[in-house]
Amino acid sequence: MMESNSTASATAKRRARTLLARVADASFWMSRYMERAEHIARILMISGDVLTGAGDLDPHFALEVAGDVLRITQRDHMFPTLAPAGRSPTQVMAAVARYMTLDEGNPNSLIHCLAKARENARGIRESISAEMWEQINTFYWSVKSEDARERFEDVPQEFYRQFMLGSFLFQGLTDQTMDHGQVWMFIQLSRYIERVDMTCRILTAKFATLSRIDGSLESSLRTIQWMAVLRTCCSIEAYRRSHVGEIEPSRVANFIIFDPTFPRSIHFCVKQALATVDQIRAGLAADAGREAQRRLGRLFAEVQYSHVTGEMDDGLIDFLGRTRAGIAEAAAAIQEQWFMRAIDPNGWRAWSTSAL
Amino acid sequence: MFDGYEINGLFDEMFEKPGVPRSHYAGLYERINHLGITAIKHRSAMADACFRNQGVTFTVYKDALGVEKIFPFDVLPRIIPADEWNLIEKGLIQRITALNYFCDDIYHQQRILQERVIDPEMIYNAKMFRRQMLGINVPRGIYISICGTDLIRDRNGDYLVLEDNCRTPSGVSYVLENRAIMKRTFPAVFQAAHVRPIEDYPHNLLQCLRYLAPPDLPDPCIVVLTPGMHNSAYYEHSFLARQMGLELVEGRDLLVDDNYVYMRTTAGMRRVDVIYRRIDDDYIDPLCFRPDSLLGVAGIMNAYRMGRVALANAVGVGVADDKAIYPYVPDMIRFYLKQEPILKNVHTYICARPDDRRYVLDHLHELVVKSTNEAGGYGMLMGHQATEAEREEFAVKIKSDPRNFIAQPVIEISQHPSIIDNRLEGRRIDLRPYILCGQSISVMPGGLTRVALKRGSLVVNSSQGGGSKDTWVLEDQKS
Repeated sequence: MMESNSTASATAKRRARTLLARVADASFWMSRYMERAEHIARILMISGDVLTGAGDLDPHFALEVAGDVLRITQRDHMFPTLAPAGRSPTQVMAAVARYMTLDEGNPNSLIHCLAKARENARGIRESISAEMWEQINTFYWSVKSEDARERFEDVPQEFYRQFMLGSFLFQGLTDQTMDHGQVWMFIQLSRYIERVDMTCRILTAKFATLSRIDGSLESSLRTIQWMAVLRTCCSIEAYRRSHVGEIEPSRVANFIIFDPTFPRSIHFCVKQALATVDQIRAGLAADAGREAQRRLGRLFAEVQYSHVTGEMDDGLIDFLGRTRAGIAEAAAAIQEQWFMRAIDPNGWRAWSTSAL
Repeated sequence: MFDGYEINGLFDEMFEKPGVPRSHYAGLYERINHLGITAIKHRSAMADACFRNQGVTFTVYKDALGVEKIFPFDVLPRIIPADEWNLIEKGLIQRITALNYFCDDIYHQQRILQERVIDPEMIYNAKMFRRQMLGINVPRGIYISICGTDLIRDRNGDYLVLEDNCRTPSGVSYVLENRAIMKRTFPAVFQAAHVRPIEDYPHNLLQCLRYLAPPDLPDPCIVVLTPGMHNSAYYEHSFLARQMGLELVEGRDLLVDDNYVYMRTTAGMRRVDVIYRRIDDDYIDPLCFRPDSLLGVAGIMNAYRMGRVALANAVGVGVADDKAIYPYVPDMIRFYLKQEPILKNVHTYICARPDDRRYVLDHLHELVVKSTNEAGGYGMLMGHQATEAEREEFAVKIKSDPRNFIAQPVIEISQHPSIIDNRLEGRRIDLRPYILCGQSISVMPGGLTRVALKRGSLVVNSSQGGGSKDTWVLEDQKS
């Protein structure tokens, strides 16, 4: 640390509240689950929309769309149960949607994600703002209410919308009602990490499925499918503004992965996650977080200097797999160095004496 | 509104006789009549929604996980006139002063035992007497920083002390939340009444905790220690931490190294100086008390005994709120303060005394028998309502472990109108004021008024279907 900065950073350190490792951990997971619920709601919304709006879709392809939902959320082992022989694609999609929305036994269902987000929030409600807690709690009870199932069966799309808006409202409240200190930073960090992970999963599943059957689709249907990919990644409008004209696979991939300024792109999210880790480290005296920084930095370099050239080749799937692995390693390093390491009584004396 | 309201032969807080409200209730009576039941029910529903959305809940241990429930809120406030309150306040200050002297004495010279004011057996057999505390000096000599004393009114309207809660009295968060909701839902009624404010309680509590920190420390680290999210009073722990701007920690967030207590933060370990602990003695240190406790902090008792961390309330104060020690509080007041008690006790039979025991066994049908170490309305026999078999069962228990039981005559406690369905009916109430002991002693004006919402029930505990009301202590208009 440079001399000139020491007074300023000492003042900042004195003002900065110490943050319990457990609170950092819970804020991280609260935010991750909220972000996850938003993505899953959007996936369900767009998939349902594709099936209802696409006219006479090849029934085989329709089943693939429903299967993608399970593949993205790593529940594909449920496919045989939810799609027994004789069920129409519409019925299968409805069963998948029900399973992914209100099934409390499904660790990736909307209701489960929200319950986990709330449970984490409840454990740290003195560290987040009253507004955030009240929003997440009210949201939770509205989804747990007696008429929730009925509302869902009635208009599923409205139900999904509620999850997406709930997540946006939570993010807005987070930005505007709580101190932008360490807890806030962990909330940001986990949101970007989850977004990278989900975006990789969506692209992997969709590119695999669409490349398998792309040739058999007529061109108008093709366009609609690729539009659906963009919509699932919340990117259609931004894509249209930057690519006037045709929607084609490599451009879609390039945009969602590499666009430097769009907040849903992998490039943007990795960059933000890295910046947030730097910011958290700057507020702490210890060397903790170096590993997380190193891994995110390496991932960012790879994202920054890569490009999709060919059309939907295996290289893209490999790249997405590496990115997912990279972000998972970074998340593990964050967990290990900030949440767990503080729990090991033998390891702390060496690196935290300056904070005593 | 009050048509058909029955006084049931009890002391009614609101009515002198049917249709005639007491003078301090006159304003409220008029406004309630003016509003009408529909408006009141509507606002009551608003209040319930607020509680649910803000997560103002307690946990009922029904299954392994527990169920979050709203503490039922009855919007009709209980009103206490200034002169009545002044007397209560003096009585409570006197009581906590004597109780603090008592704890200090018991863990040091034991004068009160030597002079045979209290039989030493009673102390040494108390479950919550902690011999680990003998000879230990606690910070500032304060054992009980926070006390919640339960008061009831008998048929004549006299206030009696039912018990002192010296360990981890809960409920104060509901008092503050009830008040906030009341101001929001009935602003005009509230404003017209000239009610003494209570919102400075968290500030006063913080001052009390600060007072226990080493005096030379400019910025002591004070934390609130909770057993965790599944505890029935978790909401309160979180609420108080938030209101005071303190860290809410669990046992797993703390560790003891070289007899200092630290909390685990993202920046490493930070020394902790004062702990407002909401964990019972039994669970606080597995090395010292229950070895199976996962809620506490191993080694914290050593740090505490060396004076390196302050705990509020002190370890061992349970000896002062043992139900079999309670009958001696008036004697303590005479012994330590050379004063007559201002607030009376309920007459209590100590089953450990042969004469009392004989009387209790002969009169079970007209007594309330309580186990000395249970709280929350558990382990009780309401003799007049119990079956012959239940009384038999208790008689056996009393004979086999007399020290564990006390008995009191059934007190027909006062009633207050409550909203039940679409009308007003009388329901029994009690009052728990909160007393803080720091550099000086302060009593929160009012406290938690609990209501037994079941018709005819005398048990107000939240775990037994009780609700609560806002409590209004009126400003002294004379000054």
